[in-house]
Amino acid sequence: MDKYSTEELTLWFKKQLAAELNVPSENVDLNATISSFGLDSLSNLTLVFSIEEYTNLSIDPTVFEEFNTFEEVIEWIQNQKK
Amino acid sequence: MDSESKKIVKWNPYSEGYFENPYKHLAECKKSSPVQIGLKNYYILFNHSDVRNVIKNPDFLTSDFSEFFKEKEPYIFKESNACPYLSKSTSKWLMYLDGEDHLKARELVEKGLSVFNYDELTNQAIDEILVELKALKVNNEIDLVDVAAKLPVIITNKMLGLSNHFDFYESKTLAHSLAYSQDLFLPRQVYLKINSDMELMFEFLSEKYESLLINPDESFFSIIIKLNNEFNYNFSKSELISVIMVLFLGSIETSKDTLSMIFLELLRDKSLLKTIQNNTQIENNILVEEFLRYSSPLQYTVRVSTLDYTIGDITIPANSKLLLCLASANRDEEVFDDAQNIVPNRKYNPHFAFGGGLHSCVGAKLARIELRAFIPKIASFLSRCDISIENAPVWQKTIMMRGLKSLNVVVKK
Repeated sequence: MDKYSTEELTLWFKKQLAAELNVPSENVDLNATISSFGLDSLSNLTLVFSIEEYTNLSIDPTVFEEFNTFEEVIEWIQNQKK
Repeated sequence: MDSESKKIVKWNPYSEGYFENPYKHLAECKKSSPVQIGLKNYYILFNHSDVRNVIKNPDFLTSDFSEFFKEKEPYIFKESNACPYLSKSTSKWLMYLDGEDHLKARELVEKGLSVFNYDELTNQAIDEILVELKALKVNNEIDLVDVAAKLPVIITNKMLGLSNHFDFYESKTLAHSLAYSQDLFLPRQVYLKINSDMELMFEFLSEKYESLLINPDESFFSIIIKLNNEFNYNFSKSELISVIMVLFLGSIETSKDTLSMIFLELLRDKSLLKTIQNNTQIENNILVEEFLRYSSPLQYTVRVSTLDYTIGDITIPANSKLLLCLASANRDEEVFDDAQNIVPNRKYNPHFAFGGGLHSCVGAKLARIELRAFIPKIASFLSRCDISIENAPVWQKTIMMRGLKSLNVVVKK
């Protein structure tokens, strides 16, 4: 599995969420609560699938329920890679 | 009660080892809390009695699958050039229809199916398969999922009039893709792939429909086109295509999964093969029911409450989605003695392998005929097979329908 830096993952998450929400990526705050993004279950699953493809990790689709923010998700992904 | 015994095992189909064996986790969920609120706010029922009460209660409706796609298609197809086929392909899938709409579609299907001789179709297909198996060389490694799929593919394509259009692997792949569309927790990327399979099939059936209007034949498709006009059912072309698609997937995918899981159990315990070979046909029919209970592919079905509904001290509000865990109900120790094991001569066997109530499987009769005829006839071949050590069985990563992706075996002398 490739190793990604926090910066790379941050940029990638911002780009993905910006596309999901139709907003500029600079407006995406990864420290906001995940629930505040208002993603429905299909969007959540689509994002998890994209993360799997990008990181080569096998991820439980319910992963976002375990975390408050996407920054925490990024931290979790990095720990999976160690 | 200490804190350990109060701990609830929450339903999670992504828990470790679930796809290989869901029953351990389901038994823990049932024991810990037989009515749970789970992912996507589904109420999940694990007890046989609760499942039975809901599945037979007309106050519970099915979920509108086609409507779900209609709502989600703008999202699924944003930034995509693909045409949406998800909603229209699923518009008349019987298991997601209610009321008059359901009765009308089911009546049309039952009338159309009534002209076919299931025994003859099944025996012809079995003979064809046994000839192929006889020609196999010793020490060949083959995938028994393909053998399992062959029976329903031959029968279904012959009945629907598709034999000359989709070859075996195309049929198997398409049926799986259509069935997979119903699974829980699929992302947009997967729906786009399923959509392209639906497009392929829909467009082919659309051309076929036009040619059958001019040159009718003996196929089920041709028969329902005729019945639709004669009895004024008023189904559109697109709706009739949807009916064909649901029968195609239901007939192929469920029989393939059931048979391949039965093959696995027979290879795990070869004494069952001897039992089958020594049994009378009636005894084998009883054993087939037991296999249906034990190895049913249909693991869950969805219902929507129209009224508040109370189970024990839990009130499920109207308009809630319920996930009825048929897999757990089929192994409920309060109903089935020695529920976690295959009991070949089990007498009382109220399983839910074909669902239940108004929506019980329209293909149950054909499925039973296939299993009752094929299993005794293939027993001798299976006794010459060993599960491959190098290529162990692989399970599909699906929740609603359980099945094997591959079951490689080595054929001995």
